Amino acid sequence: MSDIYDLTEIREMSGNDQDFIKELIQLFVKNNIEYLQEINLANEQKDWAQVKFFAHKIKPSILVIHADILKQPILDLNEYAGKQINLEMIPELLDLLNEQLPNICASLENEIK
Amino acid sequence: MRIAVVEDDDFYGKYLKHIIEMVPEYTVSHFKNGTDFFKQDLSVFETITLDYSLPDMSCEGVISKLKKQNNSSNIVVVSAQEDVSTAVKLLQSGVYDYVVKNDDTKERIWNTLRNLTEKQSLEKEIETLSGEVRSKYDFRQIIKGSSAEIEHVFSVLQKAVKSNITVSISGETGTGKELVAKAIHYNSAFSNKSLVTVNMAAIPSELVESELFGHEKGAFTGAENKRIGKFEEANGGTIFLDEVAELGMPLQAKLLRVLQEKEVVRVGGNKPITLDMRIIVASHKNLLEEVGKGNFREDLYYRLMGLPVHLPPLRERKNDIIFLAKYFSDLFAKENGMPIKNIAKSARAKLLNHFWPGNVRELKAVMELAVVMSESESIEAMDLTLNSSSTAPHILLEQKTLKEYTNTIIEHHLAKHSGNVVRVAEKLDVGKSTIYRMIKNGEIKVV
Repeated sequence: MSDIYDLTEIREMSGNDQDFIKELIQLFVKNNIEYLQEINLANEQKDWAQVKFFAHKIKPSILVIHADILKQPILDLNEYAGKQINLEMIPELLDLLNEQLPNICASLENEIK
Repeated sequence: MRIAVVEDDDFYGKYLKHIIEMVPEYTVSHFKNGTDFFKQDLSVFETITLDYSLPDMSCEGVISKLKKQNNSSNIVVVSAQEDVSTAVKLLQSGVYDYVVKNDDTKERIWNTLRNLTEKQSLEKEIETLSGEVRSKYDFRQIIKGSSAEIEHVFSVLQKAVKSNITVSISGETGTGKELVAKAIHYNSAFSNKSLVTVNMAAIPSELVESELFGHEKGAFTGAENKRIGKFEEANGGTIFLDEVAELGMPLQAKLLRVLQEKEVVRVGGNKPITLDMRIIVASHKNLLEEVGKGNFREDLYYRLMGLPVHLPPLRERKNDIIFLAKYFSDLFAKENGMPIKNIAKSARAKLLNHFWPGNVRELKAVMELAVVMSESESIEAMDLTLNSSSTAPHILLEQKTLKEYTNTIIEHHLAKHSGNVVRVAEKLDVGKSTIYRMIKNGEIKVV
C-alpha cells in the first residue's frame, strides 16, 4: 500500500487477479522508465513536440494507477509543450516527474516481489 | 460483440482489454500498431477502439483506410488528446464516439459500447423489418392474380421501381391503388426513407396548402408553430398523392411549380427547400377527362402522367375472380381458425356474374362473410351476399351493344336463379323459348 498511487480500482476490477496486476505493473514500469528517458532527451533538445508526445504517453497510465501527485504536472507538461507556452515551467515539472515517477515504479515493483 | 483495440501502449492496451472484457458479451483483440491491425480479417470486428497516436499510422490514416475498404465497423477513438477541435473533426468524419483517457474512461467506454450494442441491435431489427416489409410488399404478394391484365401491371411495376419516374395509378375504387404505391416505394431505391401518403379528398380545402407545403410560424392566424409539409416530410423518399383530381385549381398551379422547380417554399416563408423524391399520384377519376372538363390543368396532367399504371376493374379480370375468392376465403379461415372451404359451382357462377363495383375490396368482404355464413363444407351461392342494387348504374359504364346488354342481363338472372329458365322468363317478362333458343345458339351461357 502506498500513498503516492492507489491500486484499489485495478484490484477490484480484476477480482484481485495477482497475475493480471503483476503483468500490468511490469508494463507500467517498463514503459514509463522508457518514456521518462525520452521526455528528458526531448527537453534537452528543446523538441517541444516530442515532450508533448511523451507527456501524452505517460498521462493515461498515471491516471489508471491514481498517482495523483503527478496528475496535474503531467497535464500541464502536455499542455505547455503542446501549445509552447510557459516553457520556463517545463524544467520544474520535469524535475517533479524525474523525482516521483522512479519512486512510484520502485514502490510498485516492491508490491509484486 | 467482437472488438479490436488498437493501442500502442501495451499497459493501456491491456487495461482497456480488461475493462471491456469485464462485460461477458465482449471479446477483445489487441493490436499495438496499424500495420498489425490491417493484416487481420477486419470484417470480424463490429467495433474498433483506436488510439489517436499510433507509431506507424495517424488516426485519420487508419479511418481513411478503413473507409476505402468499405469497413462498416463502428470506430471509437480513445485518446489522451483532449483537444476539442480534434474530437469534433473525428466525429464529423464518421467516428462513433471520442473517449478521453482520464479518470472516467472506464465508465465512458462501457457506456459507449452499451449504446453501440443497442444501436447494432436496432439496426439488425430494422434490417429484418425492412426485409419483411419488402417481402410483404412484393408485387406478387400484394396483387394476386395471373390474368393477362395483371401480368401487364406486373411488367409496368418492374419498370417503375428501376427509376425515379413519376407514376400515375388509375383504377376504380377498391382496385388496390394505395397497395401498389406502397409496393413501388418499398421495392425502389427510395425505400430507406419515408413513404408519405396524402389523400387529397380527405383534407379540407383550406388546409391543403399548409398540409402539403408546410408553413412558417405566424404565416396565418392560428399558425402558432412552424410546420413541416408533406413534401418536406417525404424528401428522399416517396410522396403518394391519392385522389389528386380533387386538388383545387389554385393549388394545382402551386403543385406544378413545386414539380418543375423541385423545391418547396413553406407558406409564409421565403427559403426554398430542395426536394429529391419519387412522386406517385392516383385517382379513381379519368384525369384526361377532367382536363377536358376544365377541372384539371393540362400542364400538370402531363407533368404527373409519367409512367401510367392502370389497375383493371375486377369484372375485366374474370380469370382472377375465382382464384381471388378462394385466396380471401382461405386467408380469412386461417386467420380465424376456421375450416378451409371449397367454393361450390353455384357460388362460382354467382361470383362470375357479379359486376363488382367495389372491386377486390368488395370481393374480399363478400368472401369473408361467406366463410362465416357457410354451414357446409363448401361455400354455396346462398352464402354470398352481393349488393345487387349497386350494379345497375355501373353496368351502363360498359360499352356494349343492345344485344350484348340483353345477353348480360339474361346471364345475370340465370346465375341468380340457379339456371331456372322459367323463373328468369317470368322475371324479365320474355318468353322462355327465347331464352332456350339463346342458350342453344350459344348467345348466352348458363354457368
